[in-house]
Amino acid sequence: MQVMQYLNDLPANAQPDVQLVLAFAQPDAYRSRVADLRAAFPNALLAGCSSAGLIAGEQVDDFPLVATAVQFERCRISHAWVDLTDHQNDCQRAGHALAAQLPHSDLRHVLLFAEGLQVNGSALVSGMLSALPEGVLVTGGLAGDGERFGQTFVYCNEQVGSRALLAVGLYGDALQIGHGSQGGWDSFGPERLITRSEGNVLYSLDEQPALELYKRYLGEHASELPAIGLKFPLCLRGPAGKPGVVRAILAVNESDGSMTFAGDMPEGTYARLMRANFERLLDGAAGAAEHSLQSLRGSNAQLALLISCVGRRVVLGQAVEEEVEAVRATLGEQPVLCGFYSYGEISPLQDTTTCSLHNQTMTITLFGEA
Amino acid sequence: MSYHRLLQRQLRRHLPDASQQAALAPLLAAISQVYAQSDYDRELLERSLDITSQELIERYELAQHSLQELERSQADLQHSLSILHATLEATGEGVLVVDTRGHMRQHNPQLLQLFQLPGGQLTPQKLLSHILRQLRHPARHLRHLRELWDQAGASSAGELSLRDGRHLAFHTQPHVLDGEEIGRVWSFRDISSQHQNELLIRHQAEHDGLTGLANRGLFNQRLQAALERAEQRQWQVGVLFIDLDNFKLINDSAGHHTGDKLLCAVAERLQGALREDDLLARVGGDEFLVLIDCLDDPDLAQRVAQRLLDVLRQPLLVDGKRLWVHASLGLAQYPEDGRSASELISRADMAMYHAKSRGRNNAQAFSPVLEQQVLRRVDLQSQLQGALLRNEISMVLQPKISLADSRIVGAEALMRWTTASGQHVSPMDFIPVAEQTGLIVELGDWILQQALEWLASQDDRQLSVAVNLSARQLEDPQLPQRLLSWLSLRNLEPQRLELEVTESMLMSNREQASHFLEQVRNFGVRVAVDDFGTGYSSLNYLRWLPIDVLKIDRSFIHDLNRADDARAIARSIMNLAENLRLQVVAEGIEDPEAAAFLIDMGCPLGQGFWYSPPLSIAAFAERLSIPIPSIMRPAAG
Repeated sequence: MQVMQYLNDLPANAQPDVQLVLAFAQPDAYRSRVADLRAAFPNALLAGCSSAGLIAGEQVDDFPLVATAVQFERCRISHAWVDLTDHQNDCQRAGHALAAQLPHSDLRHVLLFAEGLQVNGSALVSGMLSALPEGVLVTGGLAGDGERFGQTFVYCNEQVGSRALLAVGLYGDALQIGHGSQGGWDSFGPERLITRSEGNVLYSLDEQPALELYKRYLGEHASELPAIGLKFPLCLRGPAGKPGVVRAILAVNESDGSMTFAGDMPEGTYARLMRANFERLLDGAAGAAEHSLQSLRGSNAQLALLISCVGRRVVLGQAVEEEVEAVRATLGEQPVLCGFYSYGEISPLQDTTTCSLHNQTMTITLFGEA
Repeated sequence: MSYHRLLQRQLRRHLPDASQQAALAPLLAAISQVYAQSDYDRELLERSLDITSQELIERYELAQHSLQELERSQADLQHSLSILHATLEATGEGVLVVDTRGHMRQHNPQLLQLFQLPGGQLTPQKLLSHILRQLRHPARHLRHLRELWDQAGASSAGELSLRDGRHLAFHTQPHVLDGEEIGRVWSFRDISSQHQNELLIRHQAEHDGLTGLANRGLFNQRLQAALERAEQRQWQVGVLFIDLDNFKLINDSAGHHTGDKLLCAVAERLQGALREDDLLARVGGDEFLVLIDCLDDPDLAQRVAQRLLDVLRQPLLVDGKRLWVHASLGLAQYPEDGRSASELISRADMAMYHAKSRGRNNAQAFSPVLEQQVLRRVDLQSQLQGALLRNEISMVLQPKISLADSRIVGAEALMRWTTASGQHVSPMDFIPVAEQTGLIVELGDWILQQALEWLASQDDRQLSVAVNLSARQLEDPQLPQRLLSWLSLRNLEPQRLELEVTESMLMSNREQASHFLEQVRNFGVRVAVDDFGTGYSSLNYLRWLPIDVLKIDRSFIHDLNRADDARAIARSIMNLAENLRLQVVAEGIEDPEAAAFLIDMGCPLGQGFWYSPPLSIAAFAERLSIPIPSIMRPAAG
């Protein structure tokens, strides 16, 4: 397995043996460079999405394009592409259809890149898992649009879809995958009961409009919603003894006082505001790396796909690269680091193999080949 | 772009040179941005901490408020509980509340007392076994309890019989909280005295208060049940109707108190002569019914009847007096004499009447002939209604003769009934019917008036007329006055009217009879005792009853020339009459020999077919006009 990373400058000679190119880019940049990508990697699947920041090695920036070319020795890949509008925006159904398109035989892992604003990540993952063979894990993320929350895109070869889902299937026994996901946020203030919600739309907490609560906390900065909401995600209390789930805000609706989150906000669940703790965010990134290494069970990782939350970037500001450095320090020099800042991360729950949507985490998928 | 205020101050102090600042512009901008973000973050954080602490204070206040509410509700709850406890303790019922697993959740002292439960908590098993142990039918109640257990929401009420004889009423209903059944409430009340009262009332409703025997209602019920069993098993059932023959007499003469004791003694004696399975009931003043169940021998009932007659023939000792009570018994048997209870009882009654008519103190079994007789009586009864109006009743006169000279001195007025179809009905048949129905009062008035009318029409003012009275007429307190008015209306001397009564009429209601006769005798009307010599052994009544005439019963006259004893009796009666200064009339002289004996004995008056049958008014007038031929005078000896 060989991995090469290109920051804007693509190789002059065509690389026909490359099977997969992870191309994270700004939409305009992707559109203008897709022909170049194709010329450079004539036989590869070009897969990627828009984001809220790109990771290339230890750098984090709003690069126009970062392309990471992967040449497997024994693994094979396939992909599936679905438009949400073909499924009336029913994420559960769309997820099921997406997973069903992938050949199942010998399937080892699925990488998912999904539209980041309309999608209910929980329903999408649940739909996919219902159609995948048992034991096949899904990791990936929701596309981003900086801190604008305006429009996101998913790229698949020459296609750029604003309501698209892309699944990349990885096949073969030689493939070795490690994964880890950790947040590092602190809960504070009282627990609040979700008294009204529909799917991922939250209406009220303790019978009070949810948006009002946020406005009270943000004061004069309320006008910066929804981006500023990333500083105050909600932690949903898990079932007794189980870890809770973190949910980030994707949108607000002034007319009905509702807020849209990246995943389900079930009624009757207790939620608590969270805030960032600089040191613990960095510890979280290191912890995710540690966990991904452990789950790789001693194999050699050639590539690390880092999907971190836009909220972390907002909070860490200029120090955002420290979390990537913390990952590097844990993973060592070998794996190529690529990835992006997303509107939602997809990975198995800590210590389980049940995949689900996360927010505000650093989520890492390691790839190696035996 | 201006730098953060803090950075500007730092630059003024440490890097005042503008050209140096310009060279470092990108770095300074980044530093400025970090300062600004730090301010921004601190501001947000401080604000959020401030709001959080506010929220926590609000929550604390809310919690305080809830706590106060809770304390208030707790106080209310305590109050309600104390009311509940006071109510539970004040109620007369034992109350038990159990949860769905049978644990005692609440109870009052009355419950412990009712079931003699030890204090303190009892396990469900101990509680149940303790209560079940005291029940008379534990299995039945356990079954009921299980049914209740399986039926959510069911209420139930009933009674429990305890081994110690007490009776408890219970009621139970589910204990429901927010629509969910969380237990069951039981209440128990001691109804032993109520139960006793009910038993007593039921006993009283089914038994005769005096003798304690079954009454008619219970008898009917048991007979009904016996008949149903008999039908299934092909048994026979016997019904005996018993009527005491002379009870009324004893009751009147010895007093009600003695009469009551006598009835009890009779009941006891009859009961003693019956099998345990047989049922003796008292259904009227001196009427009893016996149910002889499970007969496999058709003669058994007859033997039982005979045994009952026999035991009654022994004298009864009441209040130190030896009393003899006889009875007439009628027997009807299922299935041959009837299939229903009412049929059997009425046929036993008919048979009993038959026994009465056969001279009392005997037992008779029902037969279809009896029923025909009764039916005939009923038929007569319906025909007799209105017979007067239809002029079917007429008066005939039997001449009364002065035996010494065969001269007619008067007449006995008798009724004759010839129905519209021309059929003659004997007075022997229709008088009893008239007496039973009360028609006798009307007929009695009628014959009295007819007789007086006839008497008034006679020129011979020596003639008298005798009219028979019935027992019912003796009970009519207005009759003496009516009689007087009829006599004076026709200007008749009262001495010319003779009222005939029988010994049994005199004895059955002595006081009333004596009162009646005294009144009429005060007017001057004469009183005759009819059929004398056949009724009662005691002649004591002759001393105090107002009597003028004795009519020697026809049975003695009939046997005068055949039996010595008849002659002796007839002679004794005549002696008795003479000594008591009473007139004597011989009835039923049917042959010249009898007439000769009577003349020889010195009997002054007589009547009978030998002299003349009863005659119509016209025939009587004709007979009066014919001189008495001397050949009519019987030869003496």
